[in-house]
Amino acid sequence: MNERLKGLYKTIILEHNKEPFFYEKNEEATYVLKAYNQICGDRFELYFVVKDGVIEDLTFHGFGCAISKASTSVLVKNLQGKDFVKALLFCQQFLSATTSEVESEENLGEELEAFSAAKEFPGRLKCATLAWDEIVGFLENGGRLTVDG
Amino acid sequence: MSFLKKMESDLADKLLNINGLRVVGQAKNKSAIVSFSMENIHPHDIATFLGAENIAIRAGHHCTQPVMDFFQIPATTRASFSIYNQAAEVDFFVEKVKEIKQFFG
Repeated sequence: MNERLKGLYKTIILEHNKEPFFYEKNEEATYVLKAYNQICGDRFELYFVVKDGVIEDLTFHGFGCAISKASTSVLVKNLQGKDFVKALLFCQQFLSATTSEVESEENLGEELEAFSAAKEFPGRLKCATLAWDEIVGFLENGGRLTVDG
Repeated sequence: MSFLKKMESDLADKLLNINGLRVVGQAKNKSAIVSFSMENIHPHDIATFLGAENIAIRAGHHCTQPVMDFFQIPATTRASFSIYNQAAEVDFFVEKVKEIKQFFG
């Protein structure tokens, strides 16, 4: 089996894929954000509970490949309790480290840096960033859903 | 039975022996194509690993979302045979699918 691929999927991604954090629907959510890749069919719904600009609770549910599911799991785990400003900065740092060709100076920790390996597989990069891109748009919009919502 | 049809039939039969694997579409006179899904492993992950073994396949909803909805599946992995394929590649394919299943646990 291909060693480079095994490196990409390493234990962190496999574990999050198998047992994702905060993986449940929430009918009490303040906002429900959809992260959908029309090309491949990956689709997640992100359930926000927001109070005074703070993400009090964030869960997700849906269907996607191991990389997109694991990256969404890591995302929701890390945004719990963050205000919009900190959440946006955090997401931007992750996206920069994951997509930029320049080696990041930020130490994001092993869990987040596992996805940097996706750079070697351009066809899978969108899998790593799907939910993150959507949340950045949502946060940049001040926590308001766009028409596409 | 044509050469292509024989390979398609062999592949479907061998894949069906893998626990948790479902072959989607088993019409008698279909083309030499095998679509399948595996429990807890996304078709794109399967495609990526098979691609690394130089097995070119397609994965996703194949622009047939209504059919996918009918089968209640979001995506499949799809192998298509053509004149340049060889019978031995069926076994190689099955072997690699088994390795992927083992890797994902």
